[in-house]
Amino acid sequence: MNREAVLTRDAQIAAQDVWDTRRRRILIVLLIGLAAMFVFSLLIGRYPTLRVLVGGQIFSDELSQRLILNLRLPRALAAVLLGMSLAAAGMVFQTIFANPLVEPGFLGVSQGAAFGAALCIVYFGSAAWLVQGAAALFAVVGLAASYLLARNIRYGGWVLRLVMAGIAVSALFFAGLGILKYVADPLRQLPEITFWMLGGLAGITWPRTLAILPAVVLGSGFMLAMRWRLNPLCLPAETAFSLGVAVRRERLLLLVAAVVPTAAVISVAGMVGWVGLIVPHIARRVFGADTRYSLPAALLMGGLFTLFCDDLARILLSGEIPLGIITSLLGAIVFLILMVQKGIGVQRGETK
Amino acid sequence: MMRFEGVSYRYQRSLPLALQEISLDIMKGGITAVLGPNGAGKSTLLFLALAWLQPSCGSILLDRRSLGSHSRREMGRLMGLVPQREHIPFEYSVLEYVLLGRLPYLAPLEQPGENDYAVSLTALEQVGLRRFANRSVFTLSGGERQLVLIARSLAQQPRLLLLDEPTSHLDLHNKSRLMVLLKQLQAQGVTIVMTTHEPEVASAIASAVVLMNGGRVLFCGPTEDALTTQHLSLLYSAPIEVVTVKGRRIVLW
Repeated sequence: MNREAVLTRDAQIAAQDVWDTRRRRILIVLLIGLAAMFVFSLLIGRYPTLRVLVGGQIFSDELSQRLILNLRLPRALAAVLLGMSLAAAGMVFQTIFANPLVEPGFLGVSQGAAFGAALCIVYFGSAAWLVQGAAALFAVVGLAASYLLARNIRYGGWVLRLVMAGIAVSALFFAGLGILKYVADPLRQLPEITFWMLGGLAGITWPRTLAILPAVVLGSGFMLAMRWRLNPLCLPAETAFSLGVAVRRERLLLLVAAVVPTAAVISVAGMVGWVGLIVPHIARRVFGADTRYSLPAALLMGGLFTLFCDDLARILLSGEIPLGIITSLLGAIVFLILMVQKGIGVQRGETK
Repeated sequence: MMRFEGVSYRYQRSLPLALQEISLDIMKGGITAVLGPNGAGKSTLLFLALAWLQPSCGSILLDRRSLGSHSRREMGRLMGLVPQREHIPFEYSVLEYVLLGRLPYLAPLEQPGENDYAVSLTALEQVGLRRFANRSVFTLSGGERQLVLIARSLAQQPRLLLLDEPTSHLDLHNKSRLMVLLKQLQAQGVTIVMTTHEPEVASAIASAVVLMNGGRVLFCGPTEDALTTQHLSLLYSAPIEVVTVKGRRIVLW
C-alpha cells in the first residue's frame, strides 16, 4: 500500500511541522548568510588595489576605518535595502497579479521614475537630491495614474484593468523619455540619463541611505506582517472574497506597501532590473508557494543577491560597472537555468 | 435562512437584465438545487447570495438581516463558495491550499495554528483526499482539484454552502461520495445551495429545486413537484421524459 495512504492525521500534522521547521531553519541560514556577506562586503574592495581588509589593519589605519564607515557601510546597507525592496515587491506583485512574469516596475512605476529623473536632468539640472526627488515623485505618479485609469476602464476584471492601465501608463512615460533623450544635450545630459538608467550605487552616501530607510522598513514591515494574507490574493477575486477577504482594500494596501519602498530605492539607485523578477522565482522554488515563507525568503535572498552583485560591480574592474548590468546578467543566467530545469513551480493558465 | 425579495441584476447598462425580479426563500438546513439551461442566471444568483454582486434592485436578507450589514469576516464564517473551477497560479501543497479556508477565523496579522491545520485535515478527510495533504496541487486531476476546493470551503465551517456545478468534473465514484458528503453536511445543519445541469443529482439529494430560465424563476418548490416531464421540457425547450425506476427519477432525452 502507498505509504502516503496510511499516514495518520497526527503524522500529517507532524510532516507539515517538519516542513515548516525546515523552512524556518533555511530562513535562519539565509539571515546568517546575509549578515556574513554584509561583513565581507565591508572588508573587500579596492584600497588601492583589490584586497580584503583584516582586523589589525582596520584598527591601525584611520583611512580604512573612514573607508568602511563612510563609503562601504552606507553602500552595503543601501544594496541590501535595494535588493530586499525589489524582491519583496516582486513577490507581492506576482502574487496579486497571479502572474510570475510581473515585476515591481509594473504599473508605470519604473518608467515613471526614469521619466522623472530624465526630466530633471534635462530641465532642472542633475543635482542628486533633485533627480531622486523627481524619480520618486514620478514613480508614485505612475502608480496613481495606473490606478485611476484602471478604475475608469469599463470592462474586464480588476487585475486585467490594472495590467492594461499599467501598460498604457508605462508606454506614455516611455514615449516621454524618448523625447527627453532626443532633446537632451548629447555630451552632457544624455550620458547622465543613460548612466542613471543602468542603475548603480556608486554615488551612495549616508544621507541617501538614511533617506530611503523609513520607506523600506515601513513597506517591508507591512508586507511581512501580511505575509499569510497575501496568499488568497492570487486566487480569483470572487473566491478570495468568499474567504472573508476585503479583496480590493487588501490588494491596494499591499500594492502601496510594495511600491513606496520601490520608488524610494529606484530614486537613489536608478533602474536595477531582474532582482524583482528572478528572486521571487527562486524563493518559491526553495520554499514553496506559501507566502508565509516565500516572502521573507525573497526579502533575504534579494538582499543577498543585490549585495553580491554590488560587490562584483565594485571589484571586477578598476572602474565601477553599473549594478543594473550585473543584476541583469546574473539574473538572466539564473532565469535560463530555472526555465530549463523541471518543475518551474508555476503553471500557465487562463487569465482572470 | 436567506430570502430574495424582488431581486433584479444587470451586468452593464447596455445589457438586458441577467436576473429579473427574483423572489425566493432558501430554507434553513435544506439542500436547494438550482437548475436551468446555460445563461439562465444560476451563477449570477450564487454571486448575489455571496454578496459579490449587489442587486440592481430588490433586497437579499440573510438571517433576517440585510446581506450588506454583515462584515466580510462574518460572511467568510457564514458561507463558503465552491466555484466551478479555479486557476491555481502557484504550486501550493494541498494542505496549504485548504488552510486558506481558515482566513475568516484569524485576525488580520495572525498566522494559522495547530487547530487550523487540524480543521483543514478534517476537511480533506471528508472529501477523501487526506492522503494527498502534503502533495502539490499541480499533481491532482481535475476532479481531485474540485474536491480540494470543496475541502477549502469545509475548512471555513460555513452554515451556508454555495456550490457552482460541483459535480461537473467528477467521476461516478467521486460524484456519489460528494452526494453522501452533502447529505452528511445537511444532517449537521449546513444549508446548501447548488447549481447543477444534472436533474438526477438534484433528484437524489435536493429538498427543494429552483428552475430558472432567461433570468426568471419558472418554478420553486419541493423536488418531487419540480422535476416533472412538463417542467423540464419547458425549461430546456426539448422533449424530455422523467421516469421513476426503483424509486429514483431518471431523465430521458
